[in-house]
Amino acid sequence: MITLINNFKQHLFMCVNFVWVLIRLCYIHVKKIILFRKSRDLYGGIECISMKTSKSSSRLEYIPIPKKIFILVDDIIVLQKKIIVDVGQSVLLGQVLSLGYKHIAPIHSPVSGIVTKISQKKYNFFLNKRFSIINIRSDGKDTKIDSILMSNYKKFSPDEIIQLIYNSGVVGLGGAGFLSSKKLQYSIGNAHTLVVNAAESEPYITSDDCLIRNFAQEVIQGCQIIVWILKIKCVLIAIEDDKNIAYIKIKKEIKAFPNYKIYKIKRIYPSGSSKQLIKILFNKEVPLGKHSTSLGIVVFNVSTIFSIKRAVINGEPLIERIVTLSDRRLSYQKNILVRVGTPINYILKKCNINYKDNSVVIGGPITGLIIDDLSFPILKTSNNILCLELNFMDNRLESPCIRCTACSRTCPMRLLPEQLYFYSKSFDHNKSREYHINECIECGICEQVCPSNIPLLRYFRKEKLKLNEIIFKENMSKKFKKLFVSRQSRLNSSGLINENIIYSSNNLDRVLDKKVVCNTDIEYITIEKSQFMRKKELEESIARAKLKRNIE
Amino acid sequence: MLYSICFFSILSIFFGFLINYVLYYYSIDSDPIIDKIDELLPQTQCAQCDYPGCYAYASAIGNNNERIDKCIPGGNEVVFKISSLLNNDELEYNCMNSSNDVFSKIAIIDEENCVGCSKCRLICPVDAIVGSYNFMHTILPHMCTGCNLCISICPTNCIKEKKISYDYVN
Repeated sequence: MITLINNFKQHLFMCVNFVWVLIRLCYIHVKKIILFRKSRDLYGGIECISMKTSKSSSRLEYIPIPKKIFILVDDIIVLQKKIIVDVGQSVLLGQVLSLGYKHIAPIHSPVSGIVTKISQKKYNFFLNKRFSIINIRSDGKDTKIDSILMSNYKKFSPDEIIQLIYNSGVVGLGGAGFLSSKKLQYSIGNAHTLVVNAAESEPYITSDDCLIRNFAQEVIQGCQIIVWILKIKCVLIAIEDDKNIAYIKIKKEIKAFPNYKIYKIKRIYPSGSSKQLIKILFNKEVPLGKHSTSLGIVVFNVSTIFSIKRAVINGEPLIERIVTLSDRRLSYQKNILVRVGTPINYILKKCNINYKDNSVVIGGPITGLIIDDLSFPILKTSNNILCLELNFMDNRLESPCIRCTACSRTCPMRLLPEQLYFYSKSFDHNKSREYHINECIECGICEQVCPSNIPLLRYFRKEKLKLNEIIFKENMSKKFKKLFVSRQSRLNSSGLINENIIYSSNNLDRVLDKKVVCNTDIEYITIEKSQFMRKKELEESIARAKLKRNIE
Repeated sequence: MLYSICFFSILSIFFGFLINYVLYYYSIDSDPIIDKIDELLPQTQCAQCDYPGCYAYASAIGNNNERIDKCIPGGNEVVFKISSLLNNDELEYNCMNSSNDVFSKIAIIDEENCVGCSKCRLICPVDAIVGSYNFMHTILPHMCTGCNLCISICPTNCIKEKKISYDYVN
């Protein structure tokens, strides 16, 4: 009897113990998942000190329209002969200056006036590429051109609206400048959520905050246009947690719509980039070499949505944008509405800033470009002008890498910048392609963290350009080989192959005593050859004349 | 004794058939090494290496021990790639001109001065020139390799080369 009870006790104890262990395991698992989601929302990244004053973003300021306006046009458009206007032609506000081509949007005139000059110029700091510039002198009247109105946009088909968005020249205003009409076209039928990106992670910029505070209603209207085009189910608006007034203003507008939501995000630096934003909001990672639409998510910047609304309902093309002007010590910070193409020194003059003792940076302080030529105009993608002290770069001399791996610990894309630096320095293109240099989003954190002040971004940009060139050459050589093989087979089948023409050991080269023809002395050869041909023709004609005489 | 002779004779006949079958049906038309060298070359067919085309130069390297560094548009990169492919350690490399960028150039005909001799149309290795005898000729820019063969053959000197950006051809 006692043994039976003892046995029963043991069994009961075992069962309780087992259940207790099971419960504990489950608890640990659940806790782990919850903790993991909360703590690890973004790999890497740095926390910058916010250099934003709330005064600056509450008010929008205007400056008078400048007399001279410069508009940058890419070299491809000039080669394709897509520029419509001529020198001396009078232009109205909103008139098309040049048509679009492939991934470049059409450009509109921001003022009414006369086209004075179309010249070419090369900027050393900006892509090292030759641009052509359209100069316009404004008459100060701002007479508009007649435009199409689609205020009741539900009558039209989605394709027509997308075509209108393309025709009014809307590009992504976050910084990359991707065509937003193309983004819409790709995601028809694929997307189910729209993410509105209002997170500006760079420390000085407040232009998006200013836009939401002043035009919150129009932003929501722009969202509704995109929702109607793509038939989207829910909309998420992501705002940083220090923008309280903008948060309240949008929440008032949203109340009528049940499928709109706002999220507050922590202020970590590369959270403004689209892939990082998806990682924070959904805890999903975009796969390698793919766009965010493959997950069914479309990301648009706030100012892009605002300009889409302006294009569709008001019929205005993209000719003006909000730019933040700031100093390093925050003695002034303003948001101004500027026409595209206004030269920078004009803006600085109007705001009473002494630009001769300062060096000027376009874009944010981390990824921006230092400008030498102050007549550089404002582009569609530039959202910030920063004035810094003249000698702030003095103590940033480049010193050798010490392999501290600080950069690879903070890289938000989980790349190895330290390895990529060595490969790009030694021109090892195959290795750098293996280590996914094309996935770099150029956030510039590695450059900020680096203790020996290596300009890593500059190396990566150069390496990317070089890789593009190599891929282009490979594609071209494949194409050429196809063409050559098809020609060869054609000649063989028809029996027309003439070896004398193709071989370089023909009559002409034997005379010139030169077998290898270099590209450099082509001109010299052409002159000599033409002289030789003339001599030969003369001799032939003399011989023909003699023959004729003999027959007669 | 007789069994073994019969066995091996039947076996040899069987293998003979098998070898012939394999040779007939799985025969390789071209030398694989020459094809690999041909893939490394830039395929402009410019004939600056003293051979009519890129495949002829590749076969000369494979069969006749031709020098590696004759490809002018390929430049240094192609020389190093071919030398690593052939395991050629003793590379006596006198630095010739660095890679001449033919990919970003195309030829353009001055169409007013063209007399229609159709010499350029015959010599073009990729059929990029359109036209017929005694009529005006033009170059299709998407097919032009920039090899400059037509420039040296034109009797009236009306073909010129022009630089373009990479995006234009894409």
